[in-house]
Amino acid sequence: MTTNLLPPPPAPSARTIPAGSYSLLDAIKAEWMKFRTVRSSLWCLGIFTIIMVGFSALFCAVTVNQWGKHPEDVFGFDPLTASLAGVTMGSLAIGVLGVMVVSAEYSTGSIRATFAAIPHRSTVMLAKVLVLATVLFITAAVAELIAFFLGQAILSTGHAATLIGQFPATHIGKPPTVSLGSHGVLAGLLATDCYLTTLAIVTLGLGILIRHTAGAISAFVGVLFPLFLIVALLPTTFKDHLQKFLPLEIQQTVVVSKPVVSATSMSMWHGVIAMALYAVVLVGAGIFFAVRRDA
Amino acid sequence: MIDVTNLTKRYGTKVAVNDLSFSVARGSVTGFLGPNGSGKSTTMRMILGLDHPTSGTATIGGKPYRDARWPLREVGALLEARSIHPGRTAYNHLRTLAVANRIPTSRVNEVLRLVGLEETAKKRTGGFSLGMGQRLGIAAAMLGDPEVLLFDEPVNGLDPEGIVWVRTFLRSLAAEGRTVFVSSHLMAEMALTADHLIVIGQGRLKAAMSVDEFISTNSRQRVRVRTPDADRLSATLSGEGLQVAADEHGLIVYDVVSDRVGELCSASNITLHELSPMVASLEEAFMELTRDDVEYHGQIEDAR
Ligand SMILES: Nc1ncnc2c1ncn2[C@@H]1O[C@H](COP(=O)(O)OP(=O)(O)OP(=O)(O)O)[C@@H](O)[C@H]1O
Ligand SMILES: [Mg+2]
Repeated sequence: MTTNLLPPPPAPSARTIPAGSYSLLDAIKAEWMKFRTVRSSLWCLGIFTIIMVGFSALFCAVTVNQWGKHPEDVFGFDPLTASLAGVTMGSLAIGVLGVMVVSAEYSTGSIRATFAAIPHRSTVMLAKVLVLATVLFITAAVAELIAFFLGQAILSTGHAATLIGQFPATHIGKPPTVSLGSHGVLAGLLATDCYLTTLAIVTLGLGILIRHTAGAISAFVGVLFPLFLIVALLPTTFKDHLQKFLPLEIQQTVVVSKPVVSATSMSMWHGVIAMALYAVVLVGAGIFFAVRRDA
Repeated sequence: MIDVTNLTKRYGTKVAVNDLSFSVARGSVTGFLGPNGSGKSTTMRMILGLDHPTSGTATIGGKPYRDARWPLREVGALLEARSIHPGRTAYNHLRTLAVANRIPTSRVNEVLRLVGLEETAKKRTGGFSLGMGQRLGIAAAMLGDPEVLLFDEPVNGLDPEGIVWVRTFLRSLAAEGRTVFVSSHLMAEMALTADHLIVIGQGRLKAAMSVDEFISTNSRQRVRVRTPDADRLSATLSGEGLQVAADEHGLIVYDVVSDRVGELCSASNITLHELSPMVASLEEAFMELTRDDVEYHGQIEDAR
């Protein structure tokens, strides 16, 4: 490191402060630059993509292998769901990313530099939401498409085998596959993309509220998994009313090409809307407190 | 330029800043002094709108910081705790700040050069030493070439070269007509750097005045006298009601100006070898003023 012993005094600057003031767009540009200049965000996106593609491919391979051995699995089989089987595990990487976008700033103190540059905290948080939503929407779309095509290709490698069972003739021998043009596929892919994107925003909201990485990730994993188990243990009357509001349950109705017909679950797009509402509520509450708390 | 009015901050039951009012003028360096935990950093965070006052206001140029149109172009700040993501490079850290306030990227290289960090600009800041972190913080403060600058203990962790550099730098900023508000623990350093002082103890204002004024009001005037006739002089001065002490170099007379001692010697025909007013250091004056307010007294264990 070289040290300038005695710097020339900075040139008396002709300070011309531009008219107007910083805007949401400036905040978005700054957040985007922040996002892509730390490794953790790129890591999370990479891990998410690998999990999405890897788990889905694995699931499809196992499906091909096991096809027909368990007739009850064959019945109601959705090729789209199979080729997106990585969504559940991939959600974890997304949750970590959403939390970290905020919590990393609070835990390193860099949030103070952020708020010094943009004192309107709601502008900062809104910019974070928009940047993360855009990045995730695109990344998830890419990951989904890779997983989808790879999954369908794997499913189609199944070969005829001797099968016992009374399921439809088309299902005998090898698993069915779908193409992008098949009924419900594009809608399912889009809904899944929306689900993953809103999930990221939900966790970003948790990050704003909780501020500590570990705490917010625990809250996220706690909502996504254990709550699911707890609700499952409730008496049926409560369970039927509550279960459908859980993110994991919503996922079951979203990552599909054939609508799930069940009295106790939401429809695909109602599920997406519910996720969006969660995101709005959590981010809104986060901003409400972020503005009032000390940075 | 910076106006703090009846500012109070409570953390639970702890009163960190207590009804504090002062203002900081432009074109000079104003030192902000106080013992550990006296509320300097808290006050600075409130001026920047990062912490919310329990009551009272803090404004810069007449408006609260959060109303700044281009905050980094109006006010630059170096905060006490590092406020940098360790995974980002110094260059990218500054660039994200520049982008937020539409400051041209060329300015990033300028400020990196200013603080002598060009060589390490592409390294992630997690590996930076305390001093390098401080330099990066100073670079960030200068990014928008602002009129008003707040530095919370800028020399913390700097080597002697760095300390001299910061001193020269702060003076040059004030000479350009900017407002420089700087907190420090090094009283001697402030004596060389600051024009004005704001002294706080336990969150309360203790003094707000110029450095010279501060020293003369807050420390006892003393005069050193060397004479072959020490006993006679001692008696004469004591006779005049003055307090005299002897040490290995001669006599010290308290609470008196040298003129008076000279006149008394002359009247009594006492030969003088030396007659010199002793200037109290800022350190001494500061300790005098905040003696009752030091929250964390150092304790020296009694070995016996
Ligand atoms: N976030 C906080 N929560 C609770 N107490 C706090 C918080 N920040 C500061 N304090 C307390 O407020 C008081 C003032 O702290 P502050 O950091 O402002 O002092 P300081 O003058 O900057 O001290 P130093 O010279 O050690 O930097 C201290 O007693 C400190 O413990
Ligand atoms: Mg401090």
